[in-house]
Amino acid sequence: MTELEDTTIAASERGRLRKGITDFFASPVAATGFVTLIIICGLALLAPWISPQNPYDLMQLDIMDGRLAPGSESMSGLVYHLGTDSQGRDILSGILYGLRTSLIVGVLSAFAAAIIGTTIGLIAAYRGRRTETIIMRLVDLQLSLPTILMALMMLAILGKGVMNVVIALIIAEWATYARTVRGIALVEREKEYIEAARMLRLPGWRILFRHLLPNCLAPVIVIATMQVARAIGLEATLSFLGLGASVTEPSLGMLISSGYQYLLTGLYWISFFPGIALLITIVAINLVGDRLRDVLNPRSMS
Amino acid sequence: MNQSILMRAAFALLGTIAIPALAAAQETPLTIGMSTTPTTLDPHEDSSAPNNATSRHIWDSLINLTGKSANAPELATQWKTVDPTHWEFKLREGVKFHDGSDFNADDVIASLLRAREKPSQGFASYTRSIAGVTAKDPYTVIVETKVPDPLLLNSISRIRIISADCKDAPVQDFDNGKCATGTGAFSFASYAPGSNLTLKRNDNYFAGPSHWSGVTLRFLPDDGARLASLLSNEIDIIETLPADGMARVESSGDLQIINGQSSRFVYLGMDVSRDASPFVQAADGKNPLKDVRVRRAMLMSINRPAIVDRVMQKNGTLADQFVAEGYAGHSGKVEKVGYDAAAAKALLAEAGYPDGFSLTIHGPSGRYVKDAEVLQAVGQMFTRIGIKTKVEVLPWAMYSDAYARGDYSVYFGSWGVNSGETTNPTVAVVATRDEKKGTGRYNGGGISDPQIDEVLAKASSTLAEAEREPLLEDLSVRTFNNLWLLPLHYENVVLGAKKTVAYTPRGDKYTLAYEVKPAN
Repeated sequence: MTELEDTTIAASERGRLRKGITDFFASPVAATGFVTLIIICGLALLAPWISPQNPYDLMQLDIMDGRLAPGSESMSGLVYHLGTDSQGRDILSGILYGLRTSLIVGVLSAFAAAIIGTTIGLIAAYRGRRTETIIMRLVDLQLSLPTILMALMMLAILGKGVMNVVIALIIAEWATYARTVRGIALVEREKEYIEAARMLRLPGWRILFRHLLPNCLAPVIVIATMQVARAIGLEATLSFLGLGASVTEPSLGMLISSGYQYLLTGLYWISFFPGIALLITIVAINLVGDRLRDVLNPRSMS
Repeated sequence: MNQSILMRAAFALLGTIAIPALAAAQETPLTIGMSTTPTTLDPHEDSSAPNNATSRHIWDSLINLTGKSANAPELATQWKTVDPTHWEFKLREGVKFHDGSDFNADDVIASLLRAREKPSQGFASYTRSIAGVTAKDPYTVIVETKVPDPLLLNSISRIRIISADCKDAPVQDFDNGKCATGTGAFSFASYAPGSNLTLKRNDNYFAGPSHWSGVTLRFLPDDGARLASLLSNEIDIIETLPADGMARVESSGDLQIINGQSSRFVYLGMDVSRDASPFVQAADGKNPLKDVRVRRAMLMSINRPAIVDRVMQKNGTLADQFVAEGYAGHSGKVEKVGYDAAAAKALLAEAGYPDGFSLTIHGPSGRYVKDAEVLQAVGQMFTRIGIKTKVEVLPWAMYSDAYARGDYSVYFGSWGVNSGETTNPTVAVVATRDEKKGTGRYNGGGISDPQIDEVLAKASSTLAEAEREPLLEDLSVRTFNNLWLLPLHYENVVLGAKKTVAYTPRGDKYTLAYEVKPAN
């Protein structure tokens, strides 16, 4: 009996997943976004093997090769397909390595914030009363501060560095998740299956994470995807303001910022190509996120 | 007469658009685009470069500080020391303020004391040695100093002489023009704080009237706006031409780049005091920066001509010591260390570091010309001789205190040598740190060289120029032959201007309308 039930549940779950995937790829735009994203992730992962130069190794840079136009050749015979920045760093290699930093920061901060925010949101909704009031006022406070200001303050306290950017972004972003999850959990909490679980005297953490959480997860996944794009953009902004990665290990934002002062002179490539890379990454993630929201949201499917 | 009125009307209509045909006419106004904004017109409130440059147009000082930081007569025609703590100044006779009143000793006394007593204490560093000011007769002033002060003339040159009638006037009276009457080459017309100051020519100026019928100082701290104003012909000369604008100006037929050396000296500071430095990891666990051979190898590894040429894009001049030739304290005995990476590597090995060591160097971002990029280039060059270098740049607000405190192992430092001689930078960045004496406040490397302290003390109390000069030179020799600091370059003053004007940039970077001349 239970065995039979389990298999049917598993089968229907598999069916739902398959249907979800089919739905997702029904949109050619989303499919393009997804493929682009896979390519970008692949490029970032393979950067050490495919980039012509290690842009983080000062030994391989030569300021005598600085500000060369796309297609120029260095004295050692290396061709700079997208030109070089003022330090003689190959822009193409810089982009490939920069993508790594951007994606790591984006993914790590978005998902860590998702875990923390979701947990806090669930606890608030489940415990109710004073716990809820305290947590939600904290969330209100947090959401009333502009994210970039919050992140700047955190970096001023923590100091510079990629990991510190991740921490700053987590602190700046968890509240969004907490609020969303609490909203959904408040509705779910009143449903019969939770009541049933309570009747069975299951421990609180079990109800929270085994019963409540799975039913609140869909919107979290959507927000998290969007937040990856947002976090990448924020990291670029912070780097642009000089508070992100180290200057010798530039992220995309840093490359854009170092080329920005040359834009008027016609040395467009230092900012332009990293800017395009950043743009494509963020657009691809947003396309995927948009489609995920459509697919996972039962109301928009009818 | 009628024609002149017509011309003025035409100018009013055309705003500041210059007509080339009229450029040589007597009624030509001048517009300067300043890169910084003065906080007030009160010349004694706040001693910052934009304030002092602005006040210089309306007011004079006893001493004229020339573009090369020399002392020339202005409202004082001659001066001498009566004894080591008493200076006698003979005042220029027949000088009138813009309102027609006569200039005499009362105005000098009122001005010097006002600058000293101002609650803001903006001029404290210039007035602190002044014990008293008295008049011997209406055109002779005696200044008494607390201790013998060889920099008194330089200090006096920074204090503008206002009318004694305004000695108790509040800041607002200067900003609204009531007390903005001086003896200078231009008189006040109107002032819009944060935007512009317009001035009229003083036809009775003692040194001869200016070529320009009027001057407008426009305050344009935004690089893009300043450059755009020059390119659109609105402005005759702009300060601090942005690097990315140089090509645009060069390619334009009507504009020119005016390039001169400033007195801003850029160097690398080194932690030479701690046995283990926070940002150095050497195999032997010691601080290699304490070894002069290591510092020498580091300097040899830096291709400074390439930095000046490629990174600074000719916005700098190679430096070997605090001041360039022609300034007091420049010494021919300072050894010039050239670029030689192979020899640097050998010297590093000789010092016991054949495999180099690891190092993080720190600097500000956006405070000095191309600071972050210079630092990265230095990082590349250190890495080439085996010193594995990481570069950290921070916003100035986070960096300024930390480097002065000595938080770093190797740091990017800079000093504007506005006094034009070597005691001024030595006191601040090389002298042993001593809070009570006020020395070594920016000595971030913990340098403590008793011989330098001794020479400095002597130089700071010697008044006779002939005795003082060798001491000043000795400070350069001892600082740079021991390589307590690694000299990099002097920043250049880069202005953009129409080809119709000529200007010789000053060491202090001020742009003074009276010194702007029509071309040819």
